[in-house]
Amino acid sequence: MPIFIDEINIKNIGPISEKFGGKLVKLNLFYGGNETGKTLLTEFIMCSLFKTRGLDIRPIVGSGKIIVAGLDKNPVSFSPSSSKKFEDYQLQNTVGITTHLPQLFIVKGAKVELGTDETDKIILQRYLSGKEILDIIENRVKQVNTREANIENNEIIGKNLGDIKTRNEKRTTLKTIDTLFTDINQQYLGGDRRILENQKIETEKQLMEMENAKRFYANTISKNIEQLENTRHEIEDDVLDEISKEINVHDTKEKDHGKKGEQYNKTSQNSKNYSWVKKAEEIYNGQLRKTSSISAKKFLLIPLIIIMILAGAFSFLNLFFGVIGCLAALIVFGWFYVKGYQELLQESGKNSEIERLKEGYQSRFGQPLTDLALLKIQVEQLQQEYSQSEVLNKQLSEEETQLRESEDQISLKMNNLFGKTIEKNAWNETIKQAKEKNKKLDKEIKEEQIKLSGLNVDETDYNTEPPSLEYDKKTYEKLQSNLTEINGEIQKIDTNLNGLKNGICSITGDDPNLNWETLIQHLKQKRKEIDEEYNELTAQLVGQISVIKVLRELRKVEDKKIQEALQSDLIKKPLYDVTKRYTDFRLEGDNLFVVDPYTEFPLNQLSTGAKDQVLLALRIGFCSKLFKQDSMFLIFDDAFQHSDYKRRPLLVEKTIELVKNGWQVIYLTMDDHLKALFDEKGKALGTDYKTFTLPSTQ
Amino acid sequence: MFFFIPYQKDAVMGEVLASNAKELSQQKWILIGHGDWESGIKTSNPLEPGVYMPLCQRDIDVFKPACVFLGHIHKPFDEGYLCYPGSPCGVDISETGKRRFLVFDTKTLRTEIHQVDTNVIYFVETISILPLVDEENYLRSRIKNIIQSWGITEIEKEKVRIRIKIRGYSSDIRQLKQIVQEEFKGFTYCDGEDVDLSDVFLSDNLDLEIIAREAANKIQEIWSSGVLSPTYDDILFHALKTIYGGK
Repeated sequence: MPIFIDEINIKNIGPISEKFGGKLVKLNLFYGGNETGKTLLTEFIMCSLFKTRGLDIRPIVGSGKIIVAGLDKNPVSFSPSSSKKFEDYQLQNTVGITTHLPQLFIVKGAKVELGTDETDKIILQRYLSGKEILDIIENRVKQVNTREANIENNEIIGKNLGDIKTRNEKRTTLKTIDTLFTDINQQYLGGDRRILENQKIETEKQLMEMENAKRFYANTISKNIEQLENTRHEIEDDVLDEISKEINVHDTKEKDHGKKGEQYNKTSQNSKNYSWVKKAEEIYNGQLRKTSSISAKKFLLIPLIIIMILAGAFSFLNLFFGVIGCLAALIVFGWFYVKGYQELLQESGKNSEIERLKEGYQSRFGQPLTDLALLKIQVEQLQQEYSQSEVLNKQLSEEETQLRESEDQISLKMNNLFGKTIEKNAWNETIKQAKEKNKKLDKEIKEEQIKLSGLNVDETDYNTEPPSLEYDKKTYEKLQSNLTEINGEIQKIDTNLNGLKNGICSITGDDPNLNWETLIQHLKQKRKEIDEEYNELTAQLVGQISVIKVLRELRKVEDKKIQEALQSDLIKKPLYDVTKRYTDFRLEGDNLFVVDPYTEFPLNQLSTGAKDQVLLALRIGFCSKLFKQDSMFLIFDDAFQHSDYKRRPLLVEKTIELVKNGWQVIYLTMDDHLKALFDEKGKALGTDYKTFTLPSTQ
Repeated sequence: MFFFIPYQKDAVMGEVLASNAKELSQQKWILIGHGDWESGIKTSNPLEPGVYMPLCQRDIDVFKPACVFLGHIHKPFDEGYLCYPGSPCGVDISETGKRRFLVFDTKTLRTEIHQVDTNVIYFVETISILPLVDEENYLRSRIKNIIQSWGITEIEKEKVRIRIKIRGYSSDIRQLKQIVQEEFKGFTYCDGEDVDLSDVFLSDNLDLEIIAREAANKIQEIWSSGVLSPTYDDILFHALKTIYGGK
């Protein structure tokens, strides 16, 4: 069903004070002179039918309504105050033309062009696509980076520039803040530190008790060492060494004495026949000498005789002294001779004694006594032993005295040292034991000192008060280790907390010396601010990207839409209908060409008349295309007024043809010539032509 | 065992729990305390800014309470075994919705929600609109859904105090206001206010309306609004600003 204006009724519009209008037909001529309200009527129709925001139209005064048929099931009434306008019908899927609809449907004055100083393509884009408005909207998204951004899996994907960069930074900051909050939860707000502190307090308490126990233990060890040292110093090693030395000397002497005794016994034994041999040798020798003396006395006779002769001689010679001397010598020799002779007599009686000596020798030495030399050798041999024995005997006697004295001295010392009488045979053992005891004590003292040293307790810290528990090194060390570990953990937490504080301050710009509560509160505020900014920016970016995507999708079909539109019958048919020559359009670059069966011409190179016809055809085609109608209505506000008189009949004829093709035309004019032309040509339309004469103001 | 932790200035719950850890570890126990849960730490309570004896997940993990009931945050909140019953009566318009109290079953460790019969029930709503051919129906439908989501009875209706903000673009603001007033008829605006239309702008351009509708669909297609991300309405509002420009 064609869309056409069924009825126009107005009142109090400018000079039109009375009710004016009525039912419209196919071709409607509104005729009136100057200042009769034609322009106001045109603007009233424009404001009633179309959205005119942004258009240079005077405020509408007066009232009236325009009934349009074909838009809906029932005729629709439009007035300037209608909320729903012409564009709101059947245009839901078309973008970009609404601001130009009045310009399309209403040709004001000589403005037959669909655009001013615009390329053909722009005009076509305006009416056949929505590029113009798409550009305007897209240009509102200032940042190219945002225009080029995409959204994938709820993530804005784009170069890290501009708003996207700012958003990324805010998101990073938010994550940082959230991490800080997590850390706050973990490190500051959690009970871990308090647990550790409690453990520390408990461990320190136990450690203190153990420390007291340790000090007490140190004191105990110290006392023990003191006691051990006292015991140790009762008998000093040097005293023991000294007495031991004495005992050794004594023992050595005694031993030597014993050896000497043995030697003595041996020499004594060996020389036991010495006296006999000596005696025997004397006897033997005596016997032999007597025998020899006897023989010698025989030899004395001669001297005696000589002496006697000499005595005689001297006497004879009266040598008194000679005689005296001879007499004296005679007496001496005589005595010797007599004496020897007596002995010889005696010894000769003793030859049996020599025999007995020989027997005794045999029995004593196991060899026969052959001669005196043997006996003498024996004597010499035994005499050495005998002499040695005698010396030894003497020495033994002296040593015995010394040993007795030494023993008495040692015994006394031992008694003094050990407080009791120690038998001589127990001296060494006693000293050995004492030394071992000392050694043991030394060892014990050393051990205790090591223990004490290991405790590392200063003497001034010794505790004499018995502790509540017993010192246990392992427990003490374990407690120390635990305390160190706990302190380490606390220190670690504190270090982390300091790091955390610095982290918070780097976000909030606060002084790290502020308390935690204030810092956390500031961090909360900061998070809230950034979160709001982040959400706002995200909303803005997602909104803009969504719009850009919509625009892109609309653009994708833009050129195609133009080409399709130009090739559609809705556009092509009016071209031939109006021009009776051109059958087709072709768009090349920014220029529109019209095509006839033989050639093609750029629109801007056509004659004015031909161009007007093409533009009219385009206007008709655009309207048909937009509203998917073969025929609608057009309003010409003295559109042919400036055409020369030769062209006017043709234009009017074309209008009549247009009407015949089903279009409704409302033509407003003050031109009598044009009115006459319309009246003449309109006759062919019969009742489909109607003239409305605007009331004269005069 | 119920373990009550009264508020202590400058303390954290973990400290108190740690001090009683041994006793708590010996039996099943329920924590009742006054302080901030983790989320409360991140989010400021405008009435009481600061940190209030916070409790963190680690405390829960370490000391293992069977259930946790906390005070301080006025907004009701439930997260598994931890909940804020919320304030029994809204202090001001910021505390929206029906108020509640909980009955805890010590045998089943389950809570039962009971509504508090308060003198006032606050609701704050922001509705984004875009110019549609059936703008009126769209708006009426949205408002009906919102009111339905409040879950109030006819008797409770008179206790309701509302703050309504509409934002976006409309082809007829006067009609818009009328629709809002009609749909919220019977409810009382908080502090004698009226519906806030300061962010509603006139849209009389069908081209833009078409693009706006496409953009609205596109937003739903490419973006899922989560808890932390901006709402659909926020994004739509920005899209409309881009389409209509400068408002």
